[in-house]
Amino acid sequence: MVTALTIICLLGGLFFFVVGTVGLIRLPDTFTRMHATTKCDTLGLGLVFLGLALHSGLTFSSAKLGLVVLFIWITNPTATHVIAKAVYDTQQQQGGVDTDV
Amino acid sequence: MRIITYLLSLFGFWIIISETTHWQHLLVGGIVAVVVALLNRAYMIEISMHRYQLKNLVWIVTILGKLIRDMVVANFQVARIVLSREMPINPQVITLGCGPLEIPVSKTFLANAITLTPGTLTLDITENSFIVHCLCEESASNILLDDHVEKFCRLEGIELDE
Amino acid sequence: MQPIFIGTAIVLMISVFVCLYRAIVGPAPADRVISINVIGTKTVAIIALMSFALNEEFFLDVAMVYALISFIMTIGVAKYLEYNDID
Repeated sequence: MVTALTIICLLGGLFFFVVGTVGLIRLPDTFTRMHATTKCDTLGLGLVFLGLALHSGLTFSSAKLGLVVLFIWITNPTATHVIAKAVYDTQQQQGGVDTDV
Repeated sequence: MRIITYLLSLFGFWIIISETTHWQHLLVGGIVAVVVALLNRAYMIEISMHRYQLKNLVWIVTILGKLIRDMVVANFQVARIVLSREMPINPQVITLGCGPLEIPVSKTFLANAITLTPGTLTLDITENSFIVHCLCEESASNILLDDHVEKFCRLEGIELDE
Repeated sequence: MQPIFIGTAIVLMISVFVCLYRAIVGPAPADRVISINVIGTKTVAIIALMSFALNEEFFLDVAMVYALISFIMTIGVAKYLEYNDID
């Protein structure tokens, strides 16, 4: 039972990671690529680590995995926001108010 | 009060990292936590915690549940867009007001929540509005944002007049 | 369980190489930063998977430190993109 849940979680995480990669390759410009990568990476990593924690049970390893997931869930949107702000400010400074990129 | 919270979180981090509850490890961890907390006293972030009252913290659970549900919806939306053949996107930049929120911590977490909800990405935070990049159309994201703002206001204890 | 962990790690490694395409070709510098950020997240997942596949618990500490360093690297490069300076 636990094994089946672990496999389902790992496969789901893998699916979202692959979707993020395909989005990174296929989408046309910088901001839309950010849409794909930040969402899919956050949920994909959460699902993979949930699967590993289910496999490991209630141990210190699970606590460490939870700590890493908490950290990534806070930092991944923040890092994306910092990059997006840098790109947006640079575009504004160059005078190109192209809001529909 | 703030220093005690900091000290307790450091001690919990020590226990998780050292993977044991032997009393010698706990003693060393306690000493290290106190020393580190005292040395870093000057660098602690000024969070005005007086708005976050204990009865309002119940809303954190609601916010987390809604956030996880939104993340799953957003991922399936991205998957549908990316894996379809012609990619139906219509990107645009819009500005959204952030309501009566005041505390920077709330604004930061609201910005992160906007990034993780379907079809939106926070570009910039100004004094009282967010600049948001939308993937498709803005109607759906607007409704979601209002819901989020309301929940964060409840967390801060602001009375809504509606 | 071990083959499943190793198989997942292998698929993730292949997708890391696909991401490298965007890091090399990507027209704007920001595209390269995004793709390196994605590779960092995937590396954390690969390290955790290998830790369970090899039964080496201390690899999880490595994953934690890698997540921290990857975040700081992204912040530094984004600051360089915006101001052309890291000070």
